Amino acid sequence: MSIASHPDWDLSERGKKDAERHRKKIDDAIRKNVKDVISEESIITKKRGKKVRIPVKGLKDYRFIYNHRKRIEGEDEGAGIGHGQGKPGDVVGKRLKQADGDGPGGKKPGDQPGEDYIETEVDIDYLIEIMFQDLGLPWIEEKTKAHQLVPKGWKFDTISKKGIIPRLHKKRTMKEAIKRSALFLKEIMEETKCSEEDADIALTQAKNDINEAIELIKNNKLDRNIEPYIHIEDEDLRYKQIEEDVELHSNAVVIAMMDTSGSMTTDKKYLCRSLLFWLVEFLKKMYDHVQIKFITHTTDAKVVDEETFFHKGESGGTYCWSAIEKATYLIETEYPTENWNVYCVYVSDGEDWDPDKTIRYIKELLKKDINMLSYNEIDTSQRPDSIQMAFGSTWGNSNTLMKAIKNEWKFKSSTEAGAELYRNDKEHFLLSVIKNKDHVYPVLKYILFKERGNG
Amino acid sequence: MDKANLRKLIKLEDRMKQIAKEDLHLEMYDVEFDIVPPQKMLEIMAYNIPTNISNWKKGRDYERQRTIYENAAAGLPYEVVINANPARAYLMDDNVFAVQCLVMAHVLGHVAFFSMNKYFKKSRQDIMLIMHEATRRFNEYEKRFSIDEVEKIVDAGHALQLHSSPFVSEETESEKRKRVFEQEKKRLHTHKSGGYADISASLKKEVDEDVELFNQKLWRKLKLKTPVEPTDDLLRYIIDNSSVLEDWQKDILEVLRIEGQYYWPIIKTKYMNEGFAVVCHQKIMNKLFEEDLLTTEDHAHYNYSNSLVKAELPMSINPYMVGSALWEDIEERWNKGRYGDDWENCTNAAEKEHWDTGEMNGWSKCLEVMPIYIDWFFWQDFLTADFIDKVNLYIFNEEDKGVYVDYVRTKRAAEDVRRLIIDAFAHSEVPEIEIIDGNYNEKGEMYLKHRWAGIELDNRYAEETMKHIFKLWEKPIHLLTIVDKKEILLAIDLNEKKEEEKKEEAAQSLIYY
Repeated sequence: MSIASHPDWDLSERGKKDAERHRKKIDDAIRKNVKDVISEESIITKKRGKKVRIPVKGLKDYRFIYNHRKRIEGEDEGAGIGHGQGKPGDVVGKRLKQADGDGPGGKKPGDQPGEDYIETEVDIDYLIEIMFQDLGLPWIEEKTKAHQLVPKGWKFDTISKKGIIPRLHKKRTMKEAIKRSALFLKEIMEETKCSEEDADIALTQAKNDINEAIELIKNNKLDRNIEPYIHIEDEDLRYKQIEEDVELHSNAVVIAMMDTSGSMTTDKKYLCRSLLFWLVEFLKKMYDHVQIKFITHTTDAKVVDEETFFHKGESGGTYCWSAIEKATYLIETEYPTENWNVYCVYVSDGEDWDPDKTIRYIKELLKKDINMLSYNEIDTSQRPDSIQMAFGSTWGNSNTLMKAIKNEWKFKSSTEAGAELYRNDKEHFLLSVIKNKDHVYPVLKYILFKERGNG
Repeated sequence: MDKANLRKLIKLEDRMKQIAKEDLHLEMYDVEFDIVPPQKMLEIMAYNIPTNISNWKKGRDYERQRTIYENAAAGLPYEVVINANPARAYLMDDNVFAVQCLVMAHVLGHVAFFSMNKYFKKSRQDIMLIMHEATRRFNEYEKRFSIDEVEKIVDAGHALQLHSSPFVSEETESEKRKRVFEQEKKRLHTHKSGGYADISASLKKEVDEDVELFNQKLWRKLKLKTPVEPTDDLLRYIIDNSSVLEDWQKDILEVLRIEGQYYWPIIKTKYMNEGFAVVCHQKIMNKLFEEDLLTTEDHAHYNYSNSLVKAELPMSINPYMVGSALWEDIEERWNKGRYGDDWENCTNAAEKEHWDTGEMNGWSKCLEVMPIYIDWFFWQDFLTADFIDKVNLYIFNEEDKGVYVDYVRTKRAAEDVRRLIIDAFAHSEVPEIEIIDGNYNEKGEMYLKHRWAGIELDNRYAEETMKHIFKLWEKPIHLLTIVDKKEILLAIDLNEKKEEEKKEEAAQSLIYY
């Protein structure tokens, strides 16, 4: 037998390396489940905060195990066994009930989806980073007329001949001195035809006075024991200059419009908000200086703040043109397109009391030469496609605005993950139909496909 | 640990060993103790075996342990013992001296358990070396075939590794086939020699008509049958019969199977093993105190740590506490003759209270039990109602209290508690899954059966585990089990899914042109 002490036993980096691998798998899992994460209600409805908890699928050690919860439900077998002093009726522990599941009307505990998820806490910014890689605003232009000047802080870029000693730029000063002595040496050599070495010694001996140096050589009074060095004259001194730093930016404004009329059910509003929520969070993260304006409308549109936009509900009739009109007005008064990149994103269920008027206003808006108009229609009615085709627009009236737009302009169509997507490249006009949570992510990707501008 | 203390510890170690062997009559392998810093301990804990292979799950556990340790300065064990010959034990270097002694005595208990219990006899004693070599080879595989490819196999191996008990028969398939052939022949032909065989009349006729022909038919049938008999050893069968595994993949699975066999007896004897080690450390430490080899201050440290180890847990069974109490109960009962019919049939409480035959056989009874039991039998044979009341074991139930669910202690009788514990250990940890057919539907699909033991499987886990099997088999996997009291056949076919994915990819490629 033996005992050995290893106070400094070297740690292999293995633990850390494998932990990184685990971290990477979490990232991959988030990326893979992006459409689940994106429709995670708790993120969108939460109070503002930077960290969110999201469920991540597939990172458990799966093997055959028993479902002990079923056993608890099935018979009167008790939830478990403990030991220690006490009496019947004592509370030996407690747990918080899960949001969905448990209790009357909820799912049975055994069916909880939570079972195979692990929760991980991540930053919203981080989520955006991994979910929206390579996305951005399309068709962005340099609006040369009025770059926005943004103070960034202070910088030391400029060099001047005047200044105070603490801001002396030593390197630049030395450079100037070397440059000047090189000129002096050249002149001495031309004047006296001596070697560079002699000229150097003479200049040092004459304490940088060029005339005296020439005299010294001519009179052969050179003291060859002197080590030559470079003198720094007042005129060589250079100082760093402090000044305000500014940055130039392409101006961009995103006008987010949402239908809050009575026909927008809780489900529809939720889809609408999750689309705009991620759009806004993404823009905030990616573009420091993008302005975001929020418009809600029923029969009448108003500009509201972000909090109201995302958290207040309304009801009433629907005039879609009111929102478009408000956007046009905003562009005319505050964000002229000569100076601004303007992006308009509108979400509605398409139920419009006056689609013809809306079309007229959209034409007006497009005339403003905006960078992009995106219209997204929420359609949660679960009817089979065959019926939709058979009845066309006569089925309900939820297809009116989309239908009216499609009659007016031509679009190329495509689908991704079940979401219908349409585009008109000439007018920079995008359409999409969102039928369920799964469509939010592909539509976002469609709106934010920045390569579009290049072809 | 400073040098003086280390020297003292080495001296005490000799004495401890002597006590263990001479006073407690324990047999044990040599032990090599390594005193290590907490960071190393974190790593050893996460990897189970210090030389274990790299994998994201180990990384996850390591990170979890480290977070607990760094934030709460808790979560580290006093020791980790590796069942090998010589055994290896890792001790924390910040244990105080008395605790270090306690831990060493505790380790001796574990090593005796490993050395003497028959369920450990088949564990590979060179497990450290095996895993060390495997780590080296697996790194090579990662370089050659990518980390993702290696991970796929390792994750599948981990999912199945506990399904290879060390007690599976070593028979090869062809040996099995011959044996089954003989058995079947014997069974089917016995009616001729006047014995009674439970076979149908038509079959009887067939057997009688042409024995040779019948035997040939039987043999042909057996040749097509795979596995010849249902098998529990999932990895063994998959390694030997999968048509898609390459040698390096089989190598990975072989290693993980050996690792699984190493864990198997540890899992099955956890309560006995920990309890036994506690009893040993108490006996050895008490002897050291008797012999004045430790100070009063040491005694205080020891008492405190010992009480922490044996804490009562309101919502689970502390193996250190309940396990050791059960061993002590056995020792006391056999010291005082409190067993057998006389004891059981005695109804006089006063008589029972003072029952003592003075036979003093307690410890030898323990040494008789220790080598041949696993937890389940242990509870079955020795968990008495008296004991349950003595250590206050109880059942708790859930009560819905609105936002919270309360766990509330019930007043169920000791007999109920006993039945529940034994039930729970009957199917502790690993459900029994057997491979019935490796050529199901005659398309090489796999047919598994969950051997019913009263509790349903977690379906979600079963499904994911079947996906792991699919990755090793690449044909549909079926599992017969019971869901909501009805027998159902689950099936997994990842090839189907791939078709869907392909469609989706095609749809996506339409978009950006």
